[in-house]
Amino acid sequence: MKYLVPLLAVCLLAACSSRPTTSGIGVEQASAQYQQQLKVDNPDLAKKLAITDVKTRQTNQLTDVVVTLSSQYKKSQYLQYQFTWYDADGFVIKGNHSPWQALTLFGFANMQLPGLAPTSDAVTFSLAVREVSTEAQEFKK
Amino acid sequence: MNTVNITKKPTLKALSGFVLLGLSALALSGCANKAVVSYGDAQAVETTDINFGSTDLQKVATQMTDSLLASPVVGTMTANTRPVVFVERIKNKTSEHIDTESITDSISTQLLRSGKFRFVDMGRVEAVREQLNFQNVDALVDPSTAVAFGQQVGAQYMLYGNLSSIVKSNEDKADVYYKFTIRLMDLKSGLVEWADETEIRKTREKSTFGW
Repeated sequence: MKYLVPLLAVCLLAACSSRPTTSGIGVEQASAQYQQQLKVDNPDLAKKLAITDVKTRQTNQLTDVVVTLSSQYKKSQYLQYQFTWYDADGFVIKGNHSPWQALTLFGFANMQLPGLAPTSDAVTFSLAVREVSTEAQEFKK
Repeated sequence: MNTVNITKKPTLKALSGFVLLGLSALALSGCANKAVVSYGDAQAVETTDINFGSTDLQKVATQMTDSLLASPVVGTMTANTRPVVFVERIKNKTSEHIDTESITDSISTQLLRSGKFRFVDMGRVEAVREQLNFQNVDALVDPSTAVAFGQQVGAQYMLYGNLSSIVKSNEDKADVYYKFTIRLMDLKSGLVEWADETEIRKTREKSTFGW
């Protein structure tokens, strides 16, 4: 009986914690001078993950970008990323819905995330990376 | 003497009983099974089950469009002109029912928006014919404004592809692998000018927690 109460409390907490942390780390290419700004909203994730490189070039008159993610953690990380594109005036490209894409980053691995501007108007971008627990996802038969 | 018995401290057993009762009441009120309607993010990763879902559709469409737009062949092809493309269809060779037209719709919309390609829509030929018949035959329409027959532009390229899957499962685990292949054929020469494929793997395992 003495152990039942704390045990029950732990079980309840585990069952009711259904809201995952969705803040992460990101990079913003704020201007045409390629000023990368790293923004960390989730310091816990930033301990396990780093953005080590950002490269841009023009491919078929479209801005082409790769961002290198580097894991600093021994276990696999289940992440999601999303690019958002802006025109020269800083307006978000209308009608472009770039989805969050799932990504598995293995322990201490590097991975390049590719992004291509949807139109030739899109010149700057922002990338957001976040961790969402997919392992704890419940499935009902 | 009786008052001593009343003010006696409750035993640990009784106390834990009260705590248990209170905690259960709290839990029931907190986790009550109420129906709540809310708007979600249409771009969020969806993992409701292992079947082909919105995230897979978005991933396939985005990756294929990016790959096509970044390919050197397309760079040459679209340097001075906007090629006219006709979308045939994506053959669904999986064991599921998948609306593959939705995938081709997303791809063609993204390609059109890029400003690199133009499309003809075979799915609307009958409607166009009906409208042109009305304009040219019916006396209601001013003949000087009627759109004449035989002026539509023929497609130069055809976009088509396949979606296949391999599904495996046992008591504890289910695994599905999707392979999406897409090709762009030059209708004049019959040459496949560009092709690419993307893969998706989804796994379902029994979770340790939860009921």
